[in-house]
Amino acid sequence: MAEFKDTLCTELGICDDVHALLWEYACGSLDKSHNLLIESFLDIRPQARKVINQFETIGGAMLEKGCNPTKMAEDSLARVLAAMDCSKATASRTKPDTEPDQQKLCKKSQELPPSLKYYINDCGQKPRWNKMVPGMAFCKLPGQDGRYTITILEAKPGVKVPDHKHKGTEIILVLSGAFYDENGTYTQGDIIINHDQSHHEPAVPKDCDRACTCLIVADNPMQFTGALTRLLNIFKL
Amino acid sequence: MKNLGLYEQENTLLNSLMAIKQKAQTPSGKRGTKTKTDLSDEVTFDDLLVSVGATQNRDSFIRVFEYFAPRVKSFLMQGGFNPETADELAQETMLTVWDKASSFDPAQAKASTWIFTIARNKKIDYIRKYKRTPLKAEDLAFAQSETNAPDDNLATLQDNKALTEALEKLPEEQAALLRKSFFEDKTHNDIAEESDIPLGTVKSRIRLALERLRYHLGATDHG
Repeated sequence: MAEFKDTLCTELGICDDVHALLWEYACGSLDKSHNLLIESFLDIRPQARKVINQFETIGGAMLEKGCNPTKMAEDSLARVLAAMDCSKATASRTKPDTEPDQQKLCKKSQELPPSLKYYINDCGQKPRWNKMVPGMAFCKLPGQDGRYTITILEAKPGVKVPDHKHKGTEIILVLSGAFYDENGTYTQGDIIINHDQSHHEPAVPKDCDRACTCLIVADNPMQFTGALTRLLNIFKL
Repeated sequence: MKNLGLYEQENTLLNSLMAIKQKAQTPSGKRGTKTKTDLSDEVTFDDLLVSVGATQNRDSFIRVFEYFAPRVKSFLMQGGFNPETADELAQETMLTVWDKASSFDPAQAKASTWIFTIARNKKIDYIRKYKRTPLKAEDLAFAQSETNAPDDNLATLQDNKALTEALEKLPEEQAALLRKSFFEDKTHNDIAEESDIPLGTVKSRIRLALERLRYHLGATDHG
């Protein structure tokens, strides 16, 4: 069977890993942390919504045609019909999505993608920014369970993140600005996936006119490996 | 959609729906040659949902319910929900279908796509017990389709039959993994561990399958 060239995904720079995340997102099987990352990605790259829409169409077709029905309980239809009369009255009263409470967002959070703002707002507490090394600050957000950590990292032009390695997988979304590592330069909307045990030493180009902000979802806290930076591990970023 | 044949004797309803359909000028499938499964002369779920939205037609709703609720229930049960919860969430899904039917626009999405996104969001909400619906709920398919050119949406509609056929023709090794990820709520990682296939292979097989399907939505170039 012939292969199909996926021009849309190529244009959007969607690799196999990101493609897998987008499909899981469309299926509704992503955990809360990765879901947040993909929603933020879609805020930045709205063109990728088209891929999601296509996945949902495929999901709809699989639901409609590829699935053996399971008999509903006997009173299910009657219950829904009864509820339909009540819900008409309440439907108009459903609360619209309110704008995130600006009070709760600190100054640094203003330029974040809407999904991330909503997430921070729903957390119910003002995000706390911690300084790591000069020119670099991070903010940890609560995830769904202890399995993943969600971090927003901000680094000013010229800042080098100390050499570190990962125990699990770390997924980085560039929210604004740019950074580079040994594999290339990444700009707004790029997703970088660092797998188990990979070492890396990312840095923000000196000639950048703005800081680089990233959203990071990691399986495990990263470990700083350099002798002088081992102290940074106490921050448990 | 052969299940709809069961209802063909309900001519009164059918006629009224056909009238609605003609009024709405739903694009009929023009892609390729006409086959015996061509639905252009039959009432589709799109038509039924339109009539639910326009006239709160309960009969139309019941037909949508009878087809989709048991499938939504299966979808949820395969995703790990017990039959009672799956039944309840399927009921909730259908209730939302009723409430939001007036926002259903067949020019923007298929009925199956629309119902799927509602069911999926019910599932996510239940799992997370998270106040705000993360996926902006039922309106997802519409809110997002604003970024599509109108032609793309048309292609989506016309090619649904081709999509269904392509689904059936997927190589089993791809189809099996796609079903697992879709129905059983498994991440690529879970599937790799469980089926003893390297993660990279799982990802690329599922991607191949999805690319093949998306091709039938006019998304990719034949190369």
